[in-house]
Amino acid sequence: MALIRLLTLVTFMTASIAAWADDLKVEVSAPSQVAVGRNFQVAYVANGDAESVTMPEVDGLTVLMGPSVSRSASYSVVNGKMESSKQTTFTYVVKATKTGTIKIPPAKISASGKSVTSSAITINVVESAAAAQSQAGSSANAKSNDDDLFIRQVLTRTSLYEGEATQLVTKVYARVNLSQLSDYAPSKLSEFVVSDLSDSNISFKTEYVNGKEYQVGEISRKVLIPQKSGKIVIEPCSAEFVVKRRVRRSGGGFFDDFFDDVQLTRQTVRSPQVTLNVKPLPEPKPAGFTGGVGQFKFKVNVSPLETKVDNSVQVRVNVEGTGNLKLVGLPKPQFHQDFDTFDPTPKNNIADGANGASGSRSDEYLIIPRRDGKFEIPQMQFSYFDPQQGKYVKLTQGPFTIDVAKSDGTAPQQGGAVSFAGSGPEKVTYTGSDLRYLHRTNTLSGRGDFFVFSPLFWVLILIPIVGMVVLFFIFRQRAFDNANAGLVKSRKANKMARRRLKQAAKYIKEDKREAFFDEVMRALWGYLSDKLTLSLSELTKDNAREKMASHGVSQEAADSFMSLLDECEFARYAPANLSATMDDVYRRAAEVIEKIEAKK
Amino acid sequence: MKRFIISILTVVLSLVAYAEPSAADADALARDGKYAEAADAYEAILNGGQESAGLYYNLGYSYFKQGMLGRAILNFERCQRLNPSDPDVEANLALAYALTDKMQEIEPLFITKLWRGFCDALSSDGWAVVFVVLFFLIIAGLCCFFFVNSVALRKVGFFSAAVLAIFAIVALSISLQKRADVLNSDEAIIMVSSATLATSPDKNGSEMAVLHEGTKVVIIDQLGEWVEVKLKDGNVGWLLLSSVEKI
Repeated sequence: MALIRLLTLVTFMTASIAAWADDLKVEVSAPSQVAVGRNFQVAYVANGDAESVTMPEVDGLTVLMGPSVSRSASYSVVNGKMESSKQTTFTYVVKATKTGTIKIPPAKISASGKSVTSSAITINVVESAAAAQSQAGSSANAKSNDDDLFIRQVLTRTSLYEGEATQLVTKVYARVNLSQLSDYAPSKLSEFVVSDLSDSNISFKTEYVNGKEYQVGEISRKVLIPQKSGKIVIEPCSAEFVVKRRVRRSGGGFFDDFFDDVQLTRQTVRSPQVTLNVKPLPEPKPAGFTGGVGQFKFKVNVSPLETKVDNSVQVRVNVEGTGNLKLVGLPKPQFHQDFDTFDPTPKNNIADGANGASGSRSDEYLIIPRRDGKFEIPQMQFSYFDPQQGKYVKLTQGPFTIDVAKSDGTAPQQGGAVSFAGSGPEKVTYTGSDLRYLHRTNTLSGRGDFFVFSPLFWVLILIPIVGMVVLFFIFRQRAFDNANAGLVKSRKANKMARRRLKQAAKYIKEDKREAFFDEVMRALWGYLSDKLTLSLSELTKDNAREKMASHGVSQEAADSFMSLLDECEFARYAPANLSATMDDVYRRAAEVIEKIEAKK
Repeated sequence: MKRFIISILTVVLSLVAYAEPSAADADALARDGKYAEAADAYEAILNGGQESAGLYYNLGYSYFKQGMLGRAILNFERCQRLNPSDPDVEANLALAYALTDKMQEIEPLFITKLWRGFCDALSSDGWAVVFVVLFFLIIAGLCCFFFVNSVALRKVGFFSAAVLAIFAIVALSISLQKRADVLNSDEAIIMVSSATLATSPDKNGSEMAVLHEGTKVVIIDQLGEWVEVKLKDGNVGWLLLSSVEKI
């Protein structure tokens, strides 16, 4: 039994879920007739929770926006029974791009993992005027006249220089009662820098055009600064207005005048296109020209002009005036490398005005000198083009000289280490290391005096040279004298021998035999010593012959000389009868000496 | 005769009156820490045409103590020219140069450094004395060769004279080179707080670098009020002549 009840419950629940799912229906709503270019809505309404919708792409239809989703739920209790209904609406904003009949195929809506398709829909796209009328259901007498409502774009100046400002004012001229501006498509202004001066509320004034009274309102006011030269065409803009019209009832009854219906119609108007002639800036552009067109003042402030190392200096570059101020580049000052510089702080105070922007722009530089001395900020140039005069204006400021004194910290200290902090490229602090102490100023000499090639130098060089020359002469003289002494001795030799032999001759007469031979030997040795300029001690019997040979004495003479010496030596001690007679020896000694002399 | 004596006396007295401040006085001022006055006194002596290595040393010292880095370096450099082997001036120069611009120095060859060290062992005068002594020895050797009878001594005399002659020529060349370094120095010190090194010798030349007081440069060329200089790192540019002073 329980099983049956459970089965029943399950069956019922399943059926109810299925029934709910089957119940999901999608309706499409869209106007049956629309005008070309007009926005309209296509809504898919599902009676339940739906998650997404996919609208097929349709030729001639552009989706502008969507789908936007809105969900609603309602609960009702009738006779104690609660009913709930949910609704999901997907809305597209679309626009028809061509006339004719457009069929939108069924769209897929997915809900709870299932997808449901909507029904197809057909839209008739007509020309705008017809659409507006037919949609509004207006009668022929409500037809608008082109003269009654039009817009115009007016340029305050149509011939101007590149960078010069002009205004584009869009005005609506109406002789009909305008309810609201429902759509406004402004012209594309890609060749300009635009700043909008439009007022959000349109205020109307009365103006006469061709003798007709119009209410004229300003839809927009823009300041245009052309960015290129040449002829620039500003494409038309279009605006859609909701126009209030009174429609007379067809009955033509008495009260009709008082109870005319007020009908709201939409009317789209397009402005005529306008052109402007942009003249290029004359060439050549001067130095310091940064694109400024207008009237400007240029001012550079440097303060203070006298400072100390490590104290900051402010440099303010200011351009003030009216023109394309936002587009002007500010000249950049050049700072000496010994300054620490920071990026400038820009300060702008610009208000958009009829002739472009006016106000001031400035760059503030903060610089810090790191060394003492006089530093110059070179002259700065600012050039702009003055369209009123049609020529460039050159403004200069400076040059500025900043006098930087040493900071207090670098005053010389006595005795201690000198700190050059802040004055050097690197801060060097030597603690404990200092200059080596003062020297004694030793003997001064003339500036640029050098020992090398000085007179003293030459004297010192000459001394040994002279010494050597003197020595040379001394040695030569002595050698000469020596040579002379030998010659004299040699000359004397013969005489000496004869004198010595004379002594020997005396001994012959006295018959002193021993003394005679002694005397002869002495005479011979003495002769040889003198002859060879050798001392007696240097002569021996062994080397006498050799010495004589080297002295040019002939072998024969030397032999007889030596044999005579031997004979004398022998005879001295030998008995008289055995030895040579004294007379014979005397004669032979004389002969030998003469023989040697003869060789000379 | 009397007139002659009086005139002689006048000349002597005027010489005394115009005598420069003595070096000893200047030394005393420097020792008392009156560096500005000491520097003036030293400069007066220099203007009087006299100099010495010690004077330049003390002048450089006085300027350094006053914080005048450029003048200090200039005078220390001049001192070193006269007395290259002084370790004090070398230390002081190293200290002073540490406060000037740092540059990537071109490292000289080892052999070059060795040769420079050898040359710097003596001043120009020192090398000239070496030459004179060597010359005496050469002459002695030649005397040996000419006047001595012993063959061995004559040989020794001749060869030693030949070898010594080579050394003598080297010593004389170094002495002359050192003299030329002082008389025609091509090195200069920047004397102004900062000097702009330009690429060309005119005011509109583009700026290469900014050099600071005390930096040593080598002068290559001069054109009007500009000098072309070479830096330690090998870069070449133009400086105003007024911003440098030759060593």
